[in-house]
Amino acid sequence: MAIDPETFKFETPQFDPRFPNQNQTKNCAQNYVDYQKCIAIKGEDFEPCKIFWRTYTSLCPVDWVEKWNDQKEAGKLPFKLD
Amino acid sequence: MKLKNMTNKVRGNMQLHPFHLVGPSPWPMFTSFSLMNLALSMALTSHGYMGHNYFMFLAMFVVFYSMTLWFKDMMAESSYLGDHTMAVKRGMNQGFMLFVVSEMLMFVSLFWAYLHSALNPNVEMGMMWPPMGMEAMSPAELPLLNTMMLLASGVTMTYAHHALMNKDRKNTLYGFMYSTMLMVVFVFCQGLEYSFSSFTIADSVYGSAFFSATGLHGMHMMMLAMMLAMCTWRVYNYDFTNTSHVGAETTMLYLHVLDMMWLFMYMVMYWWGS
Amino acid sequence: MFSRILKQTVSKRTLTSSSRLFQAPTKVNSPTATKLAEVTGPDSSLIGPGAQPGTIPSNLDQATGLERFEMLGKMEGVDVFDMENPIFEGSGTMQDPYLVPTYVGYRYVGCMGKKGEEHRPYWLKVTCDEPARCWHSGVVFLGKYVGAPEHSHH
Repeated sequence: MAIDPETFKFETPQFDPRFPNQNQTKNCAQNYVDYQKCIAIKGEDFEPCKIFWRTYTSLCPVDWVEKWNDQKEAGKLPFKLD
Repeated sequence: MKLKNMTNKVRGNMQLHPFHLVGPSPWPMFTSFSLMNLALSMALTSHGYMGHNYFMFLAMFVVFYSMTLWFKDMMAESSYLGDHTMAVKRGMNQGFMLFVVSEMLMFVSLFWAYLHSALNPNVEMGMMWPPMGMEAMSPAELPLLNTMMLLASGVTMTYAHHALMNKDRKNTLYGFMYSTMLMVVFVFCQGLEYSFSSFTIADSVYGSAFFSATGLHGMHMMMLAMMLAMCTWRVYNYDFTNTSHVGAETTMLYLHVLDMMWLFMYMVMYWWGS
Repeated sequence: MFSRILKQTVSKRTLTSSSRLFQAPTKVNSPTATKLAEVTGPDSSLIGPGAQPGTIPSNLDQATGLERFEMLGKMEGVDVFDMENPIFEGSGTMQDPYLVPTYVGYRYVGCMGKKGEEHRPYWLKVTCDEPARCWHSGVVFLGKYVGAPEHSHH
């Protein structure tokens, strides 16, 4: 998903009551998983999926996302996606 | 204080206090060394520093040998020398209670280790329990049978105890034998279950926590089977009386505590955790 | 040859309590005591008759040694180890010291002070020779020899 500098609005995720603690690790991972599930069903262009993308891109360290993406390509992602 | 019923000559000849001051014995030292030997040879064997496990089995044999020698001294002191007065028996019962409490706390720490990961599985586990890719054992098969056998062993144990207190030798022997056999079958079934398991102790925190806890329990079950076999032998050997049987009491207490531990373990680790 | 060596080796073992047991003389000098008065000392009078074959014995059948001695005392209401109230004579003053029964000429006493002025146990070696006085509360104890005369160390 490419970023268009004209329309991009900088937003950080709002408080999520599922993850009330300081540690947001699982918030990041859960949104990554939800995004993968969402696009698997609706496709990458489905607009409501983007809320997950925005959340995990904002919360997750880049190298985690890279690692997961690599694992996903290799079919070794340690998350249940169905 | 009434002295008129016993001659003072007798009283002066007896030990003046009820406590058992044990004589010099080589067995504590011997047992310590054999246990150290067992720990070292187990560690060296399991970390691959030795190409065989002969030393481990030798050390196990020596541990059992020293235990046998120590216990036969204790049986001689209690049954044949009459060193175990009420105060001594009370002390041994209290000591065993303290041991049991420390055992329970050890199991608490293992439950803590398990639940630490199980209640909030982290990202590396795929945020699920059992972790991604692990396949838990079915709680409805052999583990359920094992649970029923342990509950049954509680029944046969009480049966043996009541027979013992009512001076019924035949049923006491049967009760202890049934309990021993149930323990042996439990250990056998647990070994069978382990041998068909899809994961090992080295497979993720799930395998580690699961096998540490159930394996430690299984080792205690082996100990319990030995204790029960020894009780059976001591009943056969006329060592226990209907009112004085500290060895039987401690074995029974231990059996019930380990039964209870298994019930928690079954409910948490096999049933809820799968 | 081998059996002779074995026999010699076995008969020389002296370390453990079971070897004490196996080497103990088996001849019975006096009948089993059933009352405290029949106890003649730490000898065969404190060896129980044992269980009947095919039964669970009672403690009266089976118990030996100190265990049997304690039990015979309990049956007659005697606290053979003086665990409850060993000192019952005297009032603790210099003129009328507490008399401490002893079978060996001395006894260790933990003085807890007077009534209403209790303190931590202060341990004294009380002998029959001279009064022992507690350094905390000034309570006085004196040993009273109650054993057989021939055992007295005087």
